[in-house]
Amino acid sequence: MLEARYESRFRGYHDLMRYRVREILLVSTVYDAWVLEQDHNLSERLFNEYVQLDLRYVPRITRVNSGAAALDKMRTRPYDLVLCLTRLPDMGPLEFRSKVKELAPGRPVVFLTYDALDTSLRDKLRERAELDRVFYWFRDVNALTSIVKNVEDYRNAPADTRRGVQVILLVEDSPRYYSLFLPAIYTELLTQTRRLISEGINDFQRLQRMRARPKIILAETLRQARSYLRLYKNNILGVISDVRYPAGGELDEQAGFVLASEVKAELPDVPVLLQSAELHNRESAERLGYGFLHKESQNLSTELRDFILENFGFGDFVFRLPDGTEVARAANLYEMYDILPDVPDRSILYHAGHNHFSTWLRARSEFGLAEELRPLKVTDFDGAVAVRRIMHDALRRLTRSVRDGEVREFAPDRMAARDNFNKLGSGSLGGKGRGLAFINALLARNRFDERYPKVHIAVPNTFVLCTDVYEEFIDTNGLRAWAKDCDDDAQIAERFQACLLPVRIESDLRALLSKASYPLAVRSSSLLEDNQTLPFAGIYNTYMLPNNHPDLELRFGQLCTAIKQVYASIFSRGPREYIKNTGYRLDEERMAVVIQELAGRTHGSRHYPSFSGVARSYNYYPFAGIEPEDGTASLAVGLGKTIVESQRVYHFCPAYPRANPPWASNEEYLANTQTRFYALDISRPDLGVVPDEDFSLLHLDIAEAEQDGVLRALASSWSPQDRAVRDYLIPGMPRVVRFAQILKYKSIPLSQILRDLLKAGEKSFGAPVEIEFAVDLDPKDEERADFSFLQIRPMVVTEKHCTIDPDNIVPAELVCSSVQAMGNGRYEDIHDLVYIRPDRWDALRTRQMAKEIESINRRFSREGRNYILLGFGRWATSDPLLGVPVDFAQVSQARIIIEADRHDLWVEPSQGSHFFQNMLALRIGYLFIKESRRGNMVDWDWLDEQESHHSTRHFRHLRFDEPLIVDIDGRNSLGIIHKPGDEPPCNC
Amino acid sequence: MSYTDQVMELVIKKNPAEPEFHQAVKEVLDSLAVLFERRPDYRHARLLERFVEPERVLMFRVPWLNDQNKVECNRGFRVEFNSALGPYKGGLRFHPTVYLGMLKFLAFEQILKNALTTLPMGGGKGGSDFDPKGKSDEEVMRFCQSFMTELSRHIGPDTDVPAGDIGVGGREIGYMFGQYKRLKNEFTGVLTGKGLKWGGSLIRPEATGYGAVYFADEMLKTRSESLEGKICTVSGSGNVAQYTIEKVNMLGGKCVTLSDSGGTVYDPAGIDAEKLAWVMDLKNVRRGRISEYAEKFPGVEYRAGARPWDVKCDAAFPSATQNEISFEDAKTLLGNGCYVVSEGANMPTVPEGVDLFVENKILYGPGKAANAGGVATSGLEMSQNSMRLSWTREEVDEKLHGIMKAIHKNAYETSIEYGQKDNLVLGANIAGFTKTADAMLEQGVV
Repeated sequence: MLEARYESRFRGYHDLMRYRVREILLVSTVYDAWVLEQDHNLSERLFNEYVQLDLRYVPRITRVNSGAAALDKMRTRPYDLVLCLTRLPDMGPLEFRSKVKELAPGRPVVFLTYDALDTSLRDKLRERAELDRVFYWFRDVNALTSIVKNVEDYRNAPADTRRGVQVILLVEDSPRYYSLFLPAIYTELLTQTRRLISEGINDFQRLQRMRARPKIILAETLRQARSYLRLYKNNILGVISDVRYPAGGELDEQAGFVLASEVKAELPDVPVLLQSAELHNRESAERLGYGFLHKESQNLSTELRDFILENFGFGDFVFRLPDGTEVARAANLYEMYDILPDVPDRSILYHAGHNHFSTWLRARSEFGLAEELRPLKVTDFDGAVAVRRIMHDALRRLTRSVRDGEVREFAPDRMAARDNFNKLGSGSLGGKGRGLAFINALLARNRFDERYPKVHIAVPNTFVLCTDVYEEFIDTNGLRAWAKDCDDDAQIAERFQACLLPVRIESDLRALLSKASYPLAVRSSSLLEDNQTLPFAGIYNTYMLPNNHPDLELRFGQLCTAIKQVYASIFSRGPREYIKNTGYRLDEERMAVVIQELAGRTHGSRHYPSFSGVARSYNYYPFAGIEPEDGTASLAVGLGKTIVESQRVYHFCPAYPRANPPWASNEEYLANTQTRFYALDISRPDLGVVPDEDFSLLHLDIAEAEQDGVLRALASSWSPQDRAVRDYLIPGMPRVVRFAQILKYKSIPLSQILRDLLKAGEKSFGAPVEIEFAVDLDPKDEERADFSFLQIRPMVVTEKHCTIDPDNIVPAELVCSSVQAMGNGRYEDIHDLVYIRPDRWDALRTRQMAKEIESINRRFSREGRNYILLGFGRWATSDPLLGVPVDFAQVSQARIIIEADRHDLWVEPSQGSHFFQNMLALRIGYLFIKESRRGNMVDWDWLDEQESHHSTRHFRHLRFDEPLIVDIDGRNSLGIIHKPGDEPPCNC
Repeated sequence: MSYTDQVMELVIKKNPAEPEFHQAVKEVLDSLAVLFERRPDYRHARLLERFVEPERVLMFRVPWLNDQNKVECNRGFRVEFNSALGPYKGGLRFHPTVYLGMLKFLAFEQILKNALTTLPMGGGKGGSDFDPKGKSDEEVMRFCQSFMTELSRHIGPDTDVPAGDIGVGGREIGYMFGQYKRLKNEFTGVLTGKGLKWGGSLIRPEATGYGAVYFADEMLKTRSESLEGKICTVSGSGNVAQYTIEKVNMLGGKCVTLSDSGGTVYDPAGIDAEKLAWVMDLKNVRRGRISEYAEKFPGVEYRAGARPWDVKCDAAFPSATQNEISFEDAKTLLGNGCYVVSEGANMPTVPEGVDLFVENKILYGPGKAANAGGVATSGLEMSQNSMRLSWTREEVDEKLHGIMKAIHKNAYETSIEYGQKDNLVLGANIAGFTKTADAMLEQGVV
């Protein structure tokens, strides 16, 4: 089972570079200090240096002008590093060192000298050779940063190498040369690392990668070098060594060659660069396969850079044939992944045989994969095919793990086809955006592609305009105060449309559209949306755009309009009423916009997924032994609008996918099956975007989906002769969309995927969750599919418990009772009940009923009162023949909503619609009453006998002096409403 | 105390806690008061006392394993109520509310329904408190097999032939038939409602609509008329309505309306075979709204929210749902000159409307007679099975025609016999009962 564990891929990197030099005490004469400051503006340069390297802290330098002052300072504050010029006014360097060590044993003291020092003095200054060094001061501020880093590297290397970090071993006994080399190597190393980390997709990743840069360990003798080699054997990226340095207490003219041969014997693929002031060593070095650097060369830096690039894997990966002929070149992991299939076999074998791949990967901090590859020898593979496959698979995993699951800051020039989640702006991603970003990461971490190899599970390509863009739009156009006071939706939409989006995002949107040539969904992602306790499900608008006009500017205009309409929807009537009910203020709401690739495929002039779904980890109405925690799911052919609008869809329990719906007879399949579906109309590329979010949608007969070949894998047939459902398409017979091929015969493991995702989501959110998804089946192979994850949001499941004892219920004392109730607790302050008159019910007049209840609701709103609303069929259905098609604003003052059935109106409860979710979030009680079932009743006669406070053609409004007490036992799904004057004991 | 009151008292005493059964018996006895005045021999033979006592009641355990491999246990029933006219015949119902009292009530009604068809079928009913809702096909199969394992001891093509009912459709009949065949090692017509490929009968979906039209035609014949040239209104647009129109067209009438929950289409030109084929595709395959008919064909009026009863017609075929003809609708129909009403739906006319039709002596075919075509096809399936034959559509249709003629003849002649000519409500009630009662008398005290 999937563990709902989200760990940053860079989690281990947090533990890198734990030791930092944060406080530096610089001890110099006044003159030296002046020189440093004037000539080099030391602090500023140090600061700049760190900033350029993307390092997130800058050591603080405290300057003192004497040894005594330094010691005083050290008594009051701990310093990580003491930098001291060898000329001090009040004491010699040896004395100073002794006193420092006495005061702070083990604290590194590094001396800077302008002049050559006597070797014995130099040795005496060093308590610990590897830390207390003497550097020549060439007035290069880079030297200071390299000193700091070298101290850090020495301290961090033992721990960091255990996490895979690489080590460059520098062997040089001359302070003059290592004073030159260390800054040069560090500069090159950091420059290359910085270049590589630009592949990191956000600041966080870049910082983490910087921490994982190779460490430089400086040895001054052969013994030290051997010791480090042993210590860091598995992490050696390369060796840069002098030729002549002490070995066995003596200066050895060939020590570098000895070391190099030992390295080659032990680690044949580790590059070795020998450096020497004696040119004659070049020939020997090159003959033995080592690099060579002439210490006196005028091009020392360039040559050093070339060597590092070529041998330490920092540069492009140059595919060569064994004779050195270049055949291909990859600048990064993605290019490597792309070109690998076309590289000649001989080249692959050559590089694999020399561990070039793992070296190159290590330089990119991809230690995991490098470790996988390094032990593999070419003889381990059955030729180049095997090498290529292993490399290709490994890189595929790697590139996906790098990109997938991360939110990348949008940069038009860097946007790649593989970046599936981008954001623009620095504000919040909004509720929907946050959820998507999280699930994007979760999917990547949990390797769903490996778990379900035939189903590609992913968040569709997503681009989020963060909330700061919205705020800039609102503020620069002066809309905030105006929109708040305007109560005309059409006027708001019009005014928003006339305003301009911030100029800064226009070019980015154009860049986006130039690469995104697929249909788009432009969705709201407000700050409050998908809040843990208040899911603003379906409150704001969503627009679908065909995005297929050849003129980029026209598509750009459509996208801008859609974004502005999403912004405008914050101020429309429905959301305002909703926000009012939540206790939030309109001011607190902010809108991000999710621009997403629309899942599915194109069928002629329309675009839609094979089916869409909503799954919940908690089932409000479990049946037939199913537990609430087993969850529930609803599926519908085409776009998900069919489901969220409570139309006829297929419900099932992911834990028991073969269990049929709770229908009493086979005929009910026919009565409840989906007959229409939604698709995006792509036949009109120049369609103007209007506030009505349905403007681009087609509501089609299900037969159209059959013509598109979609139903074959989803639908069954009703055989009227046999009164039975058959799980294949019988010509001329009615279709029953019950997804039997998937749920019963498991053409794709949908129910398992849903269980995994719900479990992961529930663990991550710490609450039951609802997910929305779309699945597109491969028409050529119905066992393959794309599963697009569209949304995740927490569900509202009340914990508080109220108990109703069924044995104590006296029906005569009740207005109504239900054994399918939602909510919990007692409502004691409702004095009003509005109900649809049974004798006036007419399924053809439900739209008029919606207008009437809106008007009644408005009166309640003005009076600040609440009421119980009782009607037939589904409230808020979009099918006016199934109930009254209200929206939330039209019944916003109702505190209890009741759906009763009739002999001529046979519908299932509203579970799952957006309306329903929001209703529960606002603690609106809900009773579903099927009078033919035991425990359900409405005392219609009593209602009709009560005097009307107000009535309309279809509604009666009753008002009572005494409250209508409502008790809902959420755990047992019981709900009862007492007649006024009844004072039942409360068990809540 | 009258004879029927005495019997009623006995029924309540012997069958406590079965209110549905009490109610059913009472309604039958009340409606037949006039009969018992004329037939003292029934009392002499204590016929009613025997009539209200089932010949046999079976109640048995039905254990089965659910998908979680846990044992479930339900209760199975078969009420073999009356076999005076033929093998027990009646549906099996799977529903959690099923209990003995309910099945006795249903079986009691089934005796009279079957008798009216004139076919050799007794009355029975069975089922279980098994709830098929939310069960997988495999669970349903395991239950059906366990249910049939016991039931198979008690049924047979010449003994008791169950059919489907609520919760028992083609799927369940298939599973039960398979288990019966396996246990008995014989392929016989022990169940009706079987799949077409393995013993089912043709014309099942058509039977009710065709039957209602045949019944109307028979009613007209009593006035030397026929459906030829008659303007007919039809409500609904499902199977019953579709096949009503098909048969009316065949018999030369003209149907001008169809409806669904959205409204009515009025096509003065008539819904001919071509248009009907389009409607069948619309409603059966595409599952669209009838309003599309008005968009498709010129000259058609769509009346949103309206029923077809204010359209002027000669004959009305309510084929949609219960209570679809209100008292006002009944008055409108009569006011517009309608003089034939043949009910394809179950109880489509409110009781006050029925009274109005009867008072006005129009040709009114009550549902229990006019829509008996559905029950009749069960009998025809039994006949085909026992003859080892599969009749063609035409053959089944011809037999159905014959049955509907016979039903009408029985009801009509009985109405004359009891001095209320054309009151087919009375005629049907008495005809069904007397056929069974007389058979019981003739078969002695068994």
